Amino acid sequence: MTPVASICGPTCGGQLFVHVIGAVTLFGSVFAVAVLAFAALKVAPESATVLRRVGFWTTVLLMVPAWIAMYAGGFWLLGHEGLDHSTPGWADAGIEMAHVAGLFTLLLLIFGWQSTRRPGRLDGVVGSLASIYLVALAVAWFFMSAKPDI
Amino acid sequence: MSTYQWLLFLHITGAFLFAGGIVVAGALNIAAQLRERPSEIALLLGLTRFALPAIIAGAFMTLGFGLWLVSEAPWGYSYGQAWVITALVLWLVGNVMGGQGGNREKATRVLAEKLAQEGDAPSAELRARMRDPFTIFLSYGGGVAMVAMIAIMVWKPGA
Repeated sequence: MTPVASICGPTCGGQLFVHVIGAVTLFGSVFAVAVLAFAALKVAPESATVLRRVGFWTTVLLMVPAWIAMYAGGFWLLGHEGLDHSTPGWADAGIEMAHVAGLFTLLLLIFGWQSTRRPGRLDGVVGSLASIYLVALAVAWFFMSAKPDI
Repeated sequence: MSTYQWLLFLHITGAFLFAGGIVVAGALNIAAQLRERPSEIALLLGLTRFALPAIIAGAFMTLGFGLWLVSEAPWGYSYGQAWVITALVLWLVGNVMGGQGGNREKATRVLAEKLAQEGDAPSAELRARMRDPFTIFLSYGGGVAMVAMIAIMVWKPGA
């Protein structure tokens, strides 16, 4: 049972594909928001305004849908494999991290929107949140890929 | 943890860096496409340099650890299986297309920087470069190859 997601492709491909595409897109979108927020700290105010808007819309149009795809795809996969009622330890860890990711997505939406309205004050907060989010995602993909016995 | 588990984690880490870097470059490129001022286009295209190390490291991690995984995985995989060969071809095609597209976008960024220093007025030449169909084909083709690679890794047809 341990490596289920690695070998169930022929039978669970659709569910796993949605989950994985959502996860890698989520990582990329958080990475992009971090780059944009930290860059906004170092450029002229007029340019920083552009970067904040791009960062906020990246959160809305890319990060939120990616989180939904990752989360829904994950539970769809667990249900398909009959693991939704007795999840293994690695899946529990992944689910917890997915909930943390949801909270971070919400915080980035709020602070990202606020940063477009209060220029200069929240770029560091958005960049730091996104950086922590990246580390949390790395922890999640460790549990989901290596599937250690926990 | 077994060697297989560590290899899978490192292979997946490479995939996240590779695909994530492509998402960053794609998002910044699309944002630049929606701008008219050369300084803004140059700024957004310039930020794609932060995605490059992730793309390069990820590309080599997926290849190296992926090939190692084929021999280490306890599922009877072999280098002659269609899904392994298809994935290798897609890896090569995707990297060549993405690399060539990236080089053409670098030339566009240099033009945008030059125009930004010369008055920062919208330019028909820059607009044409931004919407050059061949550059778009190369850059987005690389992204499509990456998605196809993920599909091959997930379904493993013929494994």
